Amino acid sequence: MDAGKAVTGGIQFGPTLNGKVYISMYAHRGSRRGKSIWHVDISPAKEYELFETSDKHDWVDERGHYWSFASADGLTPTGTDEQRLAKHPSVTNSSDPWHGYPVSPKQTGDADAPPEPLVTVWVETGTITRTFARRIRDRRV
Amino acid sequence: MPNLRITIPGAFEDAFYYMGQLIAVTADRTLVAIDLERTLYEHFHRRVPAIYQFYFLHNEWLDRQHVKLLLSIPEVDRGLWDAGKRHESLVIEPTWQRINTSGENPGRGAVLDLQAYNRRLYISTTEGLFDADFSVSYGDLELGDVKKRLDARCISTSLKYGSLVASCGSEGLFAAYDDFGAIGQDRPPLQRAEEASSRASWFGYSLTNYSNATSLQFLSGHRQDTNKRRASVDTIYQESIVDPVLPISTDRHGQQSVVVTGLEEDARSSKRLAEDAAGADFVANSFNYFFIHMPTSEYRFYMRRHRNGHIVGARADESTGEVDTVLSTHTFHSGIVVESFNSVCLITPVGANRIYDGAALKVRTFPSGTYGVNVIAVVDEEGLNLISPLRYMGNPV
Repeated sequence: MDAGKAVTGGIQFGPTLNGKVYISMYAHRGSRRGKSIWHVDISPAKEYELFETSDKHDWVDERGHYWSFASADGLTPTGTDEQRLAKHPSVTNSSDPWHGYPVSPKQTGDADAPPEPLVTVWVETGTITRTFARRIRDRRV
Repeated sequence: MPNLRITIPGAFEDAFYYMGQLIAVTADRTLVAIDLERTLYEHFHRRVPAIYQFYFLHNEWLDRQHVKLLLSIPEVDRGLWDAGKRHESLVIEPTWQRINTSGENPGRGAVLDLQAYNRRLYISTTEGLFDADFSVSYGDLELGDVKKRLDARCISTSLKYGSLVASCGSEGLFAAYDDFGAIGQDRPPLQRAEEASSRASWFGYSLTNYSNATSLQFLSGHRQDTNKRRASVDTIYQESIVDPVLPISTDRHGQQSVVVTGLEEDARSSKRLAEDAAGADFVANSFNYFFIHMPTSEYRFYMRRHRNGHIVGARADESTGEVDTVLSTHTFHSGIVVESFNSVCLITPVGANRIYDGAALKVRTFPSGTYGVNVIAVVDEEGLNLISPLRYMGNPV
């Protein structure tokens, strides 16, 4: 497993098979107020693994954001506020490092929800359970 | 506390219990229905205990004074309780009627919500909101042309007093007042009433709109009497047998002569409710109760009074307790049903009753109907569960 190396603002991992560099940001580890915080069980290496999986399967929306989750049934939290999903927002330049943070469509609405085509792919490929898919669609998680 | 349960195995996405019909959407987006009343009576002849008919069919009887008196006799109550414990669950595998659809195709998008009200079926999907009138003839459900009402992704609808509101996330809250043309045109265009809505819940003649888990607006309802004479529930039931297309409303308390004709925010009431909800991670309401859940898992369930579209008086604290992280809530006639990640609980003034263990794909209640008022539907990956709590507010213990 990639152990990462400390850089300004976080721990850097990668590149992924698709050449993306990733930083697990200290800001989402509690160093800055107002930012969503990764759950204690999601270590920086695990966080990178979530992104790596998302990148590998091309779980990207039309705006270029990548999306991930910690378990197929949606019962494993990604964040400290009971979030079950994570968002990896698009970068301006392809060489810029990526990052991510836990999100909850229930708490923050449509902007933090993976798009319907992606949820459909997840459920049709058996990547997530029907229950988790419905909970995402209904904005219940 | 024992609860009666009927399980129907299968892959379902949603279900709604209305006028004895159980309408469901399967995982492959097919609309199906069964006549639950007929199905249970068929089982009754096969020596299935009558307690299932008593608790799952025609629930309006449970609120009748004579039934309440009967249940207040300790021996009767104890007998039902014992029977409930003896026969806690029943598995049935009925033959579903596949409902043919014409007009617009609601199956293009994923189903997000299903509601039946005043013989109109509302299907909320990721591709918009659809509806179709239907009738029930000799136990079979016949659906009219499906019409598209809204293009926006519709998370849920809420229907009462002849009016429809549709929660469409960041696209807003949409309303069609007097959707059945009691005083104006049938199916008026939906108007955008608020900028964001993840859900909305009626509170008396007013509506609480939630833009997320905790942000709310209290919208006072303007209402108008339609001057239609209301038949008694008995009359409606008898006539509905004779003439299955008789238009009736599903509101239980006689308000169908009143139509909500507009909603307008009452900032003062919104502020009072926001103060109640300070620090909460989930807020919800039923017809006259509020439910506040804190990040510590503690909840408060209390009554709020309203007069002329305003929240008035002090909070009347009813009960407190603990329940896991809240995913959704559902109005129940004597309380509120709360879904968590791995359980479903009924919260009433006497406390919390865990009615289902496991992850629910969808939870649904039917507080405005007459048949399933004491029924909670829980869809999971294995099938559809109909649950009836044996004791509730109207049933003295």
